[in-house]
Amino acid sequence: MRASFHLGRFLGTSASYIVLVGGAILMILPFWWMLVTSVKLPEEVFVFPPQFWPQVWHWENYLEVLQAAPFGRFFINTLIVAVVITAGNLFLGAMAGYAFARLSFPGRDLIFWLFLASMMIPGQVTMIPVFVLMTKLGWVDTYFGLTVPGLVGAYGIFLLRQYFLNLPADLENAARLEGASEWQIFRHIGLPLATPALMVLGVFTFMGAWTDFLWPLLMTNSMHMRTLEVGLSVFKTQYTVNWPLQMTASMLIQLPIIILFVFTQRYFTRGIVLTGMKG
Amino acid sequence: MATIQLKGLCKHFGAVRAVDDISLEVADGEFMALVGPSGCGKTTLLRLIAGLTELTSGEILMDSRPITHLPPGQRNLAMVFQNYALFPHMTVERNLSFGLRLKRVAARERQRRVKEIAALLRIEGLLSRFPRELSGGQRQRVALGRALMRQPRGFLLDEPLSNLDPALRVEMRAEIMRLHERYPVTTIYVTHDQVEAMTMGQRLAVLNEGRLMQVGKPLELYERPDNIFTASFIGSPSMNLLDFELSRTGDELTLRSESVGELRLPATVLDPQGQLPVRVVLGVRPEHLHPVAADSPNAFACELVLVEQLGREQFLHLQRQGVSLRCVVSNDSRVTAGQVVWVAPDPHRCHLFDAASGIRIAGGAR
Amino acid sequence: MRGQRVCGFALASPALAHLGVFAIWPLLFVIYMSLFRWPLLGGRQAFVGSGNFSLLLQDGAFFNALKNSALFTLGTVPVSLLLALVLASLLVQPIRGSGLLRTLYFLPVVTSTVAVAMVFSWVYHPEFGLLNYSLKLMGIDGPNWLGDPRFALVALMLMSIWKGLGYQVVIYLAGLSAIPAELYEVAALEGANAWQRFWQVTVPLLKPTTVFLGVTGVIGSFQVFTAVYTMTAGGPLRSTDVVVYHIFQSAFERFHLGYASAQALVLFAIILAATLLQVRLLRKEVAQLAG
Repeated sequence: MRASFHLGRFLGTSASYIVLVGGAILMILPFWWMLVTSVKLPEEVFVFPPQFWPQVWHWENYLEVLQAAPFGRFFINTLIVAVVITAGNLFLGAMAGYAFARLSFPGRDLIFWLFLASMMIPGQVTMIPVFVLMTKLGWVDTYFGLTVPGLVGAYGIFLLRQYFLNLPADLENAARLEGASEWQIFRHIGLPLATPALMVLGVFTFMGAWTDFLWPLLMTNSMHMRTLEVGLSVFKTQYTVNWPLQMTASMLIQLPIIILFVFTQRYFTRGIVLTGMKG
Repeated sequence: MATIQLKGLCKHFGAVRAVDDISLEVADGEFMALVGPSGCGKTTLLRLIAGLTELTSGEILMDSRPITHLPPGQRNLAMVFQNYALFPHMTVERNLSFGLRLKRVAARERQRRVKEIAALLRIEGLLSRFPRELSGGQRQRVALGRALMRQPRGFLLDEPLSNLDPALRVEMRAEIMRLHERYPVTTIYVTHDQVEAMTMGQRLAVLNEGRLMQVGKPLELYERPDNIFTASFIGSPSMNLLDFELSRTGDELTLRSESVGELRLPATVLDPQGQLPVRVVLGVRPEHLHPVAADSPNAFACELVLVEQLGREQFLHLQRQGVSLRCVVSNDSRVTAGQVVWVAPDPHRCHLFDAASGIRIAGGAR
Repeated sequence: MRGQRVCGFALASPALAHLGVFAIWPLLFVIYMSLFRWPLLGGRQAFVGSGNFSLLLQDGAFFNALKNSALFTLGTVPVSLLLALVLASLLVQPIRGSGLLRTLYFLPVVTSTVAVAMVFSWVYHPEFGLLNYSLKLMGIDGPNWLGDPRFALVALMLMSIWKGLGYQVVIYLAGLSAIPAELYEVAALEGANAWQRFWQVTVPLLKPTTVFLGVTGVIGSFQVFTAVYTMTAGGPLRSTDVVVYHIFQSAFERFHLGYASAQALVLFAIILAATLLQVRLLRKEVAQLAG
């Protein structure tokens, strides 16, 4: 009912469909192109007009790429980094968010403002000193260097605090009367009830950590430690001439993320209300 | 079970005195109703007793032992919140056994207690359900059950029935009283509904603006209110209050006002105490203001503005010289709006209050 | 109450410690570093005071980077928001497949920027790329997108819009859903047609959303890096050299950490200004949230 008051009414349903589907095709086209190119041979690429449906699908490209670079290793690295960063953000973020929302302690509001202010500091400003610090600690090219700087973020704390603020206060009061300690209240009441927010924050953090490029680029210089993004970038510089293989490698590293996205997409499109709306 | 003593409890929020020097004693096993209008401080007082809010000054004692600085979990009190505060992510069974699980009570003992309480409150069939699947009345019973599980020595209830529809409310009222008979735990019951307080409380404490107005048995408060606030708060419909100037001549008290005229009441019946102020307020309940013949003593004429038909009785809304009055008559009265009705107060059932301080100076049944 | 204090500190302290080490200290240290000549690979650091900053003022390449970033922002944010608003308005209708469409629009947002950059490099190929092919079908001769200094930045902008659109569409969708239907009904009763309702009801009520997306869009576009690194390396002829890429090169390819720190501070000032602007524009909403 409501939607009929929108632009859609102005355009009419069929016109809306044309625009929307047209746009969706534009969104998908590059991925389709990536897919079909990934199974071509180099000669087949430089043809005019471009081939949208290859005659022969050279799946062996994938084998070739897997053998050309340790993508398996890259995958494991990326997985470890993404999991650790997500876990850190969720737990430490929930702890801090809960403390700011539901517990009173001296300096609480000041400290929270400090966190808010830190959200205005972009990563590119802090990356130089942090890089120097990592070098001094000997954490370059290690999992520590890749994960610790991103272990907890003000954004997640802000979100979770918002969420905790909306929980009814009497729940903790009831628990207090039952003899629960503050920590037990957090563990048994606060944390479980935050599950929806944690799910959304979790998928976003995971995706962000998985596809991060600049920091892993700085932090890794051995093939042994590289993540998928950085590995792909290095692969590209080595195989500049071979377009299909570049596309194959691209497809390869995106597969996990696309699969994950398909299964968790509702957290992005619906859960985004939690994250984006109020900034 | 235990006695609960409050000594000079104060809670200030900046300049606002939410609880202003309240001292009260609840006997062992007694059902004490805390009643007052919205914002009078009764919920704050309850939370002070529970330890959920820190008090500004005063003491709380249980069985003569101070619990003022104990954390809520160690006071051995249970509370039922207005919104029940059931843990939404736990089943009824887990809600009930939450406290026992924290104390690591053995599973067998825990289950025995859960069964016992569930049977008592008739919620056995709901143990594996979640709060969102339950009706208001069912949630209420789970909340009560959770409070009973730990065998507390004191029971605090914060307007537990206000979220229920009227029919359910009456039913649950009886249920709570039945529970109290079975387990006479010292109970403090907060409500803004004075009918509820009157029917349930063994004693009532009336609060207004953070101060204790009067404490006593329901009938005491009804028949001998200590001040104007209590007089008008207790009893429904509320007491008629009229301004008069008082003078005493021997055995007789003369009340004069521009609107009503003159009333003469025997001093012996009213038995006023101490020095008599000139400006007084006469209180007479609608049920003690009777239509009489025009020549009866103390009768004065009023215009009948509205008749409210209630089935077993009628409320007459009267007006005299800008003053509104109400009286209750039986349902075979046949007066109609617009008529002139002569009424007179029952001299044995009048109350006199000092207009300035609001305190009772005379009247009320012994 | 004491329990709250202890527990509160305990719960907040890991995050606080992390904040101190990875946000506050680095900011202070960047300021410190910007006052030095600081080589990346060993060597001594020399104090130069405001030397780096005066150098910056005369650094044409840096100003070029600032200019490119500004152009990039101007080219992407307004266009993107407009497109997103139109798409969201169409998508909010209860048509069949809107969920699927929503997912498809969001797909580019979560994918790897490097992979996307690579495929777009191909799309932009002057002879065999998809874009010029489509243009040729319409009778237009497309340029050498990534090789022509006049068009390289535009190519990056198009890609950036493509990649970020889904996120903005979804946020607008949320904002649109929050507008009560009654407002439209009243407007319709007063005689407003769809176009008028859009401008008089929808757009004004979406102001907070638009401001949010606008400012985050500006902040995001000043932080562009991966696409430049992968596709153009700042060229051709420095036409796609953006601020973050420039800082990266200063620090990690030319090894001038001090100078790069000074540049980073300029970037910080810009982003800070944008964020404070957002706070100011959304004053009411922020007060609601922080309290």
